[in-house]
Amino acid sequence: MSKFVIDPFYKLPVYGIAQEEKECLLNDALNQLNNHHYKYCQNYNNLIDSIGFSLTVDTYVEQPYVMARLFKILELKSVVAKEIFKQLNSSGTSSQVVSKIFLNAQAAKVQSKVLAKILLDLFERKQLGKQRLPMLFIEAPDIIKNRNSFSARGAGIQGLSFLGRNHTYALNNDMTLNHKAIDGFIEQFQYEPVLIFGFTFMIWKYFIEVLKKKNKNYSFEQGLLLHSGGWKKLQAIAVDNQEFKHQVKLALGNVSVHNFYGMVEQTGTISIECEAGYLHPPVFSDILIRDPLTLKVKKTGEEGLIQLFSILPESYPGQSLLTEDMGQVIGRDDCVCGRKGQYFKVVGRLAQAENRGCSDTFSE
Amino acid sequence: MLEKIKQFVGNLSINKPVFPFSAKSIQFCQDLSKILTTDTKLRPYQDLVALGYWLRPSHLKQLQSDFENKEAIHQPRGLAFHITPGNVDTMFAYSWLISLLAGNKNIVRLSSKGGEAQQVLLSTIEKLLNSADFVNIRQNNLLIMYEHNDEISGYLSSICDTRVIWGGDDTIKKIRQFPILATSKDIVFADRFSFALFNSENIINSAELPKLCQLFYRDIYTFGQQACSSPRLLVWYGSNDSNRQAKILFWMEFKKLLGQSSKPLAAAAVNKLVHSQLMAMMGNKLNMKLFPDLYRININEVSSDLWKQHCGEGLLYEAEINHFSELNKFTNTSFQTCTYTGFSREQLKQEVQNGELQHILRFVPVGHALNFESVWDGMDLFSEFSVISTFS
Ligand SMILES: [Zn+2]
Repeated sequence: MSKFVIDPFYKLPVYGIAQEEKECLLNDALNQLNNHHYKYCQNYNNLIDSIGFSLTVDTYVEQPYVMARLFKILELKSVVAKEIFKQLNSSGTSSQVVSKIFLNAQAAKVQSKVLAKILLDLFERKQLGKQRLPMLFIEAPDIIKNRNSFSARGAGIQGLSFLGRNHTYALNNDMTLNHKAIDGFIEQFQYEPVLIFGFTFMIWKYFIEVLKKKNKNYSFEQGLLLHSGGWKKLQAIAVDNQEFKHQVKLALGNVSVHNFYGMVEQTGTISIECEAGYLHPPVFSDILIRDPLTLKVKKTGEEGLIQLFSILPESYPGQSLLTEDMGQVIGRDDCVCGRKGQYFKVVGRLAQAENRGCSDTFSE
Repeated sequence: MLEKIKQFVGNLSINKPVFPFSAKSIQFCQDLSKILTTDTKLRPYQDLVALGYWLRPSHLKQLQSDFENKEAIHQPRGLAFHITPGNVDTMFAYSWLISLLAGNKNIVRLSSKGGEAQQVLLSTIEKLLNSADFVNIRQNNLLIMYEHNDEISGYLSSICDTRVIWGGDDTIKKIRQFPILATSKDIVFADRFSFALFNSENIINSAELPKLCQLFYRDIYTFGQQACSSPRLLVWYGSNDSNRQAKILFWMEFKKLLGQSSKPLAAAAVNKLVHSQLMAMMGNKLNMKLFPDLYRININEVSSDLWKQHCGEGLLYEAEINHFSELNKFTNTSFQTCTYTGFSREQLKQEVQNGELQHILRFVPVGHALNFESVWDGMDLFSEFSVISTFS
């Protein structure tokens, strides 16, 4: 059914639709998804009935939303067990509880297809050509060992790997640098376009800092580094986006660095940082900012909780999620990079409420 | 830390013996009471003032005469090891002081999660302990804070005569891994949940609704609704008509109190939203009335899982009943306090004796939910901290 919803979107330019039109298109698709999940996911059905959300609405603002955290508590799915093709898990670094996302074969295919479309658009903008690029993962090969249950990190790598070739892992399984692998990669591909991928903090800690300490650097002639995973840990050691980019260039040469924002609950529809430093949701997704106290929608420039729309989720009710990330919309249709639609910034996580329940004495 | 503890324990046997309600222990409580109730710097800490009030001379006298009028002779059990909770800043003091008054020696482990009030109270107590008057108490009582440590917890468990475990089911499970002496015993405080029971007929005819709302507000919001005795469910008792009418009247009045107090945390609001969506997804028919600082969720029953997920900070389940027998849909063996209005004590007693209102350990009028009493969780703590000698 999602084939039906998403099909017309493949033909659209990833960032070429103006916000007003985009909202109309997405709202229609979301309405269809709402009705689909209402029919096939009992939990979602309960939520809608019980809270009094409408399934078919006129604007984003009225779209029902699911608290993203619920994917950590319940197994939310709109497919029967035998149809489940793959299960994605968020990597819970700070908490032991992980999100569980269930995909059927088609949903998994759609995620890959959309991710490819978004990245190919970027390759084109970077004039990296249309062929598959040599890929360097700032990861250890262990990360994708278990093929049936992926962590978000593993899933990211899985999703990206078919866009490249000569997949090389820069780290050993004990997270030390695999010099042999890196040297081999640079020797072979120093003068061609390459794709480098990793998680922000891991790139910094296990790659950039180690290279710096060893006084080692490389000079790729034309690279693209994509990274994700949040800035919290780097902020703690006073490393910002600018410093990150600067150090990557010192270590790797002519590499353009792009952060992206996405969550395991909406794998596929990532928002990539543009040349001006803002995140752009692709034509398949969008955001809305809500006040955490009143849940009212915030105006451009005001900070609040990020609500994420994606028209991909068909096997689980993840088409409209209220996250606990804080962000702000910067503007619409007028980013200096030329991409159309809304663009935004992520400010960080909502500070956790103090939980001092009766049963906390030894959980510290 | 372990060395310091062992040294303290080693000296205990050479210290002079202690007795229940010794002059020094009473004086210590009185002095502490005086500081807590008169020091203007402590005014903002309502729970410290409440502790001071609990320790007032007349109440100490009452506790002492209750203790001495017990039929059997009560003697101290010896060394008590208290593992105290972080959710209520003053709880360590109640646990410790009752044991102290009962004549025990004490080692009290404080939660490192405690709030500002715990810090203030601790430094007040330390100052007092360091005065020459209380050398004897200082020698026999040790207040410590340590990160979770098997070695220390194991050692203290192996030598104490009484082990007091606050902090709920998980802590109890964890600490019970460490064996105690065959003659020693555990006093445990499991996870507990509490509710309020309103007589709708009475609300409709009440001339004092504003006062009632204030008292109920205090019950809910003290300690972020996270104490075991904080009401998390409000049950309306009466005919369908009067329940409906009473709710309208009550909430109209209660709403005036919302939004005025300290600003609600965004994260607390989000926690409540997650919880209410969870309830909805699990098939509970919710009739939600949302304000940032109060989520009211109408429900027909509560599974024990949901009680554990309850996040506090102004989240109230609401239900209506026509008969007391319907309460069984909500309560279970983990229940503690029923905060009531519109019933007489005798009436509730009668219901309990008739087999209704089962599992409930404590009935208090609205406004008193958080008041600590020496009978807690169904246990008379002065007796629990004593051995009883009989004579025939
Ligand atoms: Zn841009």
